[in-house]
Amino acid sequence: MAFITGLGWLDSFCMGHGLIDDKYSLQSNSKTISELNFKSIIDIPHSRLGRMDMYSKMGFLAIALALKDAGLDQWKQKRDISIIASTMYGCLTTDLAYWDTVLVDNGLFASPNLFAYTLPTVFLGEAAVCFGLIGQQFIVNDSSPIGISGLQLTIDTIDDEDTECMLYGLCDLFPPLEFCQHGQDICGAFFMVLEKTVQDGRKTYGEIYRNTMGDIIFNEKIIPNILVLINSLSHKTE
Amino acid sequence: MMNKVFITRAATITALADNLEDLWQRLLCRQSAVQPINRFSTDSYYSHEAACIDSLRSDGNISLVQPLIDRLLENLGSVPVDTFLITATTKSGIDTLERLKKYTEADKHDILLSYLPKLISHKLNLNHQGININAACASSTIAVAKAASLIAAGRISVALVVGIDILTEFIFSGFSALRVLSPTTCKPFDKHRDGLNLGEGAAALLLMNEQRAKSDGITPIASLIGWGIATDATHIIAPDINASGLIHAIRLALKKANVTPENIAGINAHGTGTFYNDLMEFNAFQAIFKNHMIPIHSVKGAIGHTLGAAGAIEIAIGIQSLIHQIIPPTVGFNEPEQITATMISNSSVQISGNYLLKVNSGFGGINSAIILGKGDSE
Repeated sequence: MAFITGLGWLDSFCMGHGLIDDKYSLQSNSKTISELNFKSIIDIPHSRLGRMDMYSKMGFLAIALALKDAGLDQWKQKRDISIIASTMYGCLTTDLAYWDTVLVDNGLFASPNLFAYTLPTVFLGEAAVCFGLIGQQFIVNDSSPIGISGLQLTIDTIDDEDTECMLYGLCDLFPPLEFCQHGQDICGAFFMVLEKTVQDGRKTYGEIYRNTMGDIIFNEKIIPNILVLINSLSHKTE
Repeated sequence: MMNKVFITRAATITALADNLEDLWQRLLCRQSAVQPINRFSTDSYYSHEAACIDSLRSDGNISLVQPLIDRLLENLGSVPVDTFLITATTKSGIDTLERLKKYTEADKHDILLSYLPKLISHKLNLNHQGININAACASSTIAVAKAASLIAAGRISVALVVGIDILTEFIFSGFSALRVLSPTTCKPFDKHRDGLNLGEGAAALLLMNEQRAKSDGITPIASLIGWGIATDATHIIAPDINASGLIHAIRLALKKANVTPENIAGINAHGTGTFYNDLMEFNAFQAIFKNHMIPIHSVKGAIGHTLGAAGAIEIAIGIQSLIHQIIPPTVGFNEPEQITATMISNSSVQISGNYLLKVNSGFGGINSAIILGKGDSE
C-alpha cells in the first residue's frame, strides 16, 4: 500500500502539478511542449534540458513537476527514490531522426547527441542527476499505452522491497502515422510520487494498493487502466 | 518469510555458440567470436569488428530478432502456460526501422519493444502477454531481479526472463559516433583497454519457487539469493568513477542474500573494455572486497557486448562457473594494471565456493547486481 503524494502532468495544451486540469487529455498533438511556458511553473536548473529530445523532455518535466508537488524537488543529499515509467512508442521519433543522420554520407556524420537519446530510459537518468535520485529505475514496455503493468510493478516494489518512495508514470509521443498500433495512442506525460508512509499533516491524494485478486485499488475503486486513475485525480472528481 | 528462488533452466545463443554447453567449452578454450563485420558496410566507422552470429539470417520482411527468438526457444523447450514473462531488450527489432527508411518492405511491429514479449508469449502459448523491461545494458539483470522479487514475495511461482539484442548498423553507428568502440578485439580490464566490441545474442532463464520446482519434479541448476539495483545520479552516459551506484547495488544484493563479501567465490563483471567502465568496476570491487582477492571475469572479449541480453547470457555463464567451480579466462586481457594483478586472468581459475556475484551497468547511470547460489544452496 502507498500514498500518492505528488502529481505532475503535461500534454500539448497544458501542464502543471497537483490535481489534474480538466483540459488535460493526453490526446492532442496540435502544439509541441516547447510552446508551453514551463518556466512559469517550475524552475529547472538543468543545463541539459535544451539538448533533450521531445520524449525525454516531456518525461523529465513531468517527473520534476511531481517531485515539486510532493515537496521533494529540493535536495542536498542524494535520495533513495526509484522510478518506473511505462511507454508504448518510447523514443521512436528520435530513432527516426537519428537514423536520418546515419543515412547522410553512410554514417560519417551520425549524431552522437541524438544517439544518446535513442534509449527510452535516458530521461530517467537525467531526472536522477538533476534531483539526486539513486534508487532503481527502468522502463516498462506494455502492449497497451494505458496499461497498468508498470504501475502494478511499482506498487509491488513498494510492498515487497525496502523502497520507501517511488515515482511512477507514463510518457509517450504520437508516433508517425505508419507506426500507429491502435486508437488509444497518447501524447504527453504523467508522473506521480508514491510513498510507503506519510507523516501527519502531509498532503496526500489517497491510498493505492493491490487487493488479494491483484487488482489496483485507488480510494476504494478498481483501476483498470491509467486513464481511469488520471480521471480519479482530476479537479472534476474533487 | 520470503520464498526461495531457483533457476531451473538456462538457454543461450551467442556468436560463439548455439547453446550454453558449447559456449562454456569455447570460453574455457579462450575463443573469441569477434571478427570483421560483413552484415553492413563499416567504411565510415572507426571500428570494423563485432561478434555477429554468422548464421543469423532473416528471410522476408521480419527483423533478425525473430529467427533469433526461434532458435532460443528451440533450445529452451516448452515452459508452463502460467509462466510470467519478462523480456529485456534495448532496441529489439530496430533493423526493421533501417529497412523501412531504405524504402523496403518490413513488418513495423518488430520496432516496438512491447511487441517482443507479445511475440514470445504467443510462441510459447503463455497465458501472460508479458512485459519488456528496458534499463539499457542492465536490462536483463534488472528483469531477473524483478522476476526474483515477485517470486520471493509469493506473487508468482514461475517466471521466464528472455534477454535479447541484435547487432545492427543503427546501434553500431551510434557507438562509433560516441567513440567507445575498440578498433580491434576489446581488452576488458587490461592496462591498454581501448573500447568495447558490440555483439548480439539471447538468453532465457526459467525461474521458479521451491514448491513449484518440487511439484514439477525439476532439480534447480542455481539459486537466486540476492539482488540490488541503484543509480549513480552523476551523468547519463559516463559511469561514476567513484562507483557509488554499483557499490550501493552490490551492498543491497549482499544484504538480501545475507552473505558477506568473503563468501563470494567469483565475479562475473560487466567488463566492457572501456577505460571508464572497467575503472569504475575496479573501484566498486575494491570498496566492497577490500584485500579479499576474488577472481573476476568478463565475457565481452569472447562474445562482444550484447547490450540488453548481456546480463541474462552472463548469468547463464555464471551458473556454469558455479557448477564447474571454474572462472573462465577473460579473452583479450593480457597486461594487468597493478591493482588487478591477482584478480583477472586470461586462463581459467579454479574456485571453491557457493556464491557468485554478477553485475551490469548502463547508460543513465543504472547499476544492477545479482548473487547466484550453487544448485539449491541457500
